Amino acid sequence: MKIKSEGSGGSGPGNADKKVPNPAYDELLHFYEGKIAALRHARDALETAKPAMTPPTTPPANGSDRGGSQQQDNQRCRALLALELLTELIDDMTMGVVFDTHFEAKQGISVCANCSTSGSDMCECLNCQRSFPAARFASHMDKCMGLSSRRTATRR
Amino acid sequence: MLSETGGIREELLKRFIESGERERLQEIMRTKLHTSGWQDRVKDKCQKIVHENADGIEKLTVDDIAEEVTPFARSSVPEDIKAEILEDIRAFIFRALPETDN
Repeated sequence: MKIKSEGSGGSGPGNADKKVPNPAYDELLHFYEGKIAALRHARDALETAKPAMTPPTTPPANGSDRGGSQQQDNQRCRALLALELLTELIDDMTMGVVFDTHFEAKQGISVCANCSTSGSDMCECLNCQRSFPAARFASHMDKCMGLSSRRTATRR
Repeated sequence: MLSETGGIREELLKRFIESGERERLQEIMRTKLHTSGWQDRVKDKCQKIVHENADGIEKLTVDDIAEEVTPFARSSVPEDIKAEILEDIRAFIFRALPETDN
């Protein structure tokens, strides 16, 4: 990504002496360094949690060291529980978006309470003879008849 | 005690909600996710799903959309946000269930 800069980020030997501060570059640098630090932090946290979250590959020998593996089981249960709670939070937020989208989608298939025409029944425009679903008929007529917005309406 | 984890688990979930910790973390996460553009991405994907099912739209249920968008939504959460909230949750669990040696 090429950024026009006379300052410290400049390329070419000629710019080496110039130290004109470039606030845009500095701000971006600071932002991305913050992002990198956050990702490092996340990776370290996950590395710490990894031993507790991976199931044991070999079963304990014959009841020996029950205390130790019990401890590991507890740790693993905690880690899995934490992950489960996190996933629940994410799913909650997802469902919010799903409900909104679903609601908007169903608006298009609403039915008139008075005359019970479905929202997806087709109507023919009197002007241009094109067909439209009822829910979008009014906004087309608006533009086609040229009564309210006269931007590109041509008189027929 | 593994045999007790059923009861302990329920107890912990209850405490998570009743103490207000769940709501607190949800608000923090909501803001972060919105700022990161996650909500817009998920909305986009949901609308794509609706358009793909345009011919059978009357039968489209919330569950249908949810089933298709959930894997995308889960994997689309930025890693740093996931790790931050996960840490808070783990801290809550450690406070609620102090390490025991039995």
